[in-house]
Amino acid sequence: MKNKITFSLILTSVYLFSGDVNITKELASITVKEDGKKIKIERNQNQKHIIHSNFAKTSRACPPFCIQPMHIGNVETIGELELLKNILQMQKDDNKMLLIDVRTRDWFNEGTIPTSINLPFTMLDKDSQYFSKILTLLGAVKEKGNWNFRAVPTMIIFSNGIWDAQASSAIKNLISSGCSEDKILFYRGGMQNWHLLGFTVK
Amino acid sequence: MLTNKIIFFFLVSSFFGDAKPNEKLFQGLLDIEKEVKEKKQHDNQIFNQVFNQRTRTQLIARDAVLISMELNSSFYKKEILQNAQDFDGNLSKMLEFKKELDKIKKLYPQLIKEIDDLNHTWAETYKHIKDIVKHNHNQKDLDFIEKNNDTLLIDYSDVFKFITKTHVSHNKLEALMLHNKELLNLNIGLPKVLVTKIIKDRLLIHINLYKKESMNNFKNDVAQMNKLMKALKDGDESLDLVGTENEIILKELAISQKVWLEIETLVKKEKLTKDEILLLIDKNSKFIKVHTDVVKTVYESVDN
Repeated sequence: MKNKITFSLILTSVYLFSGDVNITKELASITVKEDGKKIKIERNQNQKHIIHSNFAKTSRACPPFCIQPMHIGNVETIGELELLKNILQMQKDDNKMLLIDVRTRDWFNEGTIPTSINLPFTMLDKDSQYFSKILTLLGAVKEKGNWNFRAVPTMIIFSNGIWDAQASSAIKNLISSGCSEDKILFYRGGMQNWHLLGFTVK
Repeated sequence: MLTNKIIFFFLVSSFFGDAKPNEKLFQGLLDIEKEVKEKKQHDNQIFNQVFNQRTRTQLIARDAVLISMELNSSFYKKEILQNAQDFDGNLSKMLEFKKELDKIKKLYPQLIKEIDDLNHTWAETYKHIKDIVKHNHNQKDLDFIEKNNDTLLIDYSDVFKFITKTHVSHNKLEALMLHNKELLNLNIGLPKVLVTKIIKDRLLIHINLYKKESMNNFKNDVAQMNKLMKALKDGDESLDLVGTENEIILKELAISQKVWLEIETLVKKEKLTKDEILLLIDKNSKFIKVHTDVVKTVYESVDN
């Protein structure tokens, strides 16, 4: 009985306090904690708000800004709702999952998805001097010359979005280094979609 | 059904507190970030020595003319000496980066002669600058400074270009992504150089010195300046520039464009009064100041 009342209160509070621009019909926002601070991930409530100028271009030169495939091998491609669900899951135990922004540092500093860490795709290149160090930090172990990714958390990887190859490059490098495809989730929409939907940027 | 399950999950999960961070990973990433920053700072040191040097060659030439015109001579003597000391200091510091320079020289062998010419021309120019500070109007010193400042500018422009090019990423995708930015980085500081050069040439026309050459340079440089300022904003295939949509850069470019238009109106006047010359010099400083903001924003931006 107590649980039913609690559940009803939760539903009512979400209904009463949701703005006009929700994530889904029933969901206005999620709250996460990062570095001890609470961050509310929601959509911008100003219905006249337009996208950040960095993401307003329709026609970047290809190459290098070519349209990325929906799937990279058998890696699962996810959308915003799945991403939000995973972000909440990480709040319980982020040793099992990591949200990784693989853009170069300059892009990351312009704004990223709350709770993400930055691992530039250039460092996930086998030729990078930081490659081994980063794989080790992620939990990979070198066994007889090959990397074992068993202990590595599931990595949700994103970059600027469907016109940006940074995420695809990082994912391909990880797979070619021995990481199994089920250890990776590809948020293909990236910052382009995140900005397009007016989501909170940190 | 799936949507209902996701929603229920959100509602329940949102009441969980935050988890302990993966401390080892985060600390490791911070260490790497620190290392990368330090390496970038070291790499930038040689780059920092070439910054503003091109503009200094023109400021020196301009101030030499002002001294010979006996216009606030004591002030411009201090200015020319300060710019010369800064130029000399930065050139010496750049040459101390022997290891880095040798690497660049291997990629661009023409740099060897450029640096030799630069050293030799500057050593002679510096002597004449010191002389002009002592003696006010000395035609021989003025002639030398004016005839050689273009050589200094061209040589330093090449040094700047080659050093900038060697800072390109080894990662193919990143290098491709940054190609347009690299071109912008090479060109964004040029307006400061051009404005100062234009004003210097206008002063030479005013005192009837090297009139034909100064007039030609003046006309060409004004045309180049207008073309460049437009290209930085809108792009120009002939200059290999794609323009920018960055709101902050556009706002700052509009400010420097406004100051440039004020300068252009003045320099195109047939005759200049003493007050107008002083105003022109003042606007020269103003342009350098506002355009430095543009340069800084461009270097720090990710998308142009």
